[in-house]
Amino acid sequence: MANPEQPKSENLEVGQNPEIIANQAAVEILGKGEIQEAVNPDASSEAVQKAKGFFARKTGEFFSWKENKKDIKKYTGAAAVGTFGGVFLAGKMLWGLLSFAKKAIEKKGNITFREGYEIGKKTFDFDARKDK
Amino acid sequence: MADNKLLQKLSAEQMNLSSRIFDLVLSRVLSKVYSNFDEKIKEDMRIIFDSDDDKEKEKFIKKYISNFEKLFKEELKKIEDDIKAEIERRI
Repeated sequence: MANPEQPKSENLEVGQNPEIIANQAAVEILGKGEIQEAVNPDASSEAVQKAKGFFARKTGEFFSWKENKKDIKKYTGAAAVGTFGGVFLAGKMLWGLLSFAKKAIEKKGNITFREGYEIGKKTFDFDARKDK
Repeated sequence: MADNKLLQKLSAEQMNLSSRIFDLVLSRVLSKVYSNFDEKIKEDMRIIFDSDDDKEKEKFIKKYISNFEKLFKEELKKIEDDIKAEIERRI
């Protein structure tokens, strides 16, 4: 992981590969987030931990249904369907971050609000959903 | 299905990150809703999710976490914004 104290010029040699930059940035932010969650009493409560386990198990079942080509329309678990959407969104977000990193390299970090918005829109298509 | 194809395109490292993102967002969503429950609902949640009754768990989710997808997207967006800021900082 890059040292945040490093001067920018030293980061450039490591940093022109968008996937490496995007992944390193994700690792940094996730690490901080995971530490925050570890000390959050609500997150570490028994109820939340058990519920997380349930969501994870049901999502696994849902993946298994898909892999076995069963009709997913017949799968009626709110937890599984909700979390499967989440797994997909998390993967999609990583693709979006890769596009963002490529654009950021091209423009040497000067990404405009509109460019960032367009990448986000392509990634999540939130606005298209609202329009339906 | 397009969803599966996208997930298959991810590298092993991205799959690992995707899984960590998912875990973190799920944890934040559940702890956020939990923090807003009164003590009675917190205790009900603990008992229900400690049991083997999946139907009761599903009922609890539908009743108290019906906006799961919306909350998930909100938390995911926050993480995305933080990662984008970190990418820009590194370039």
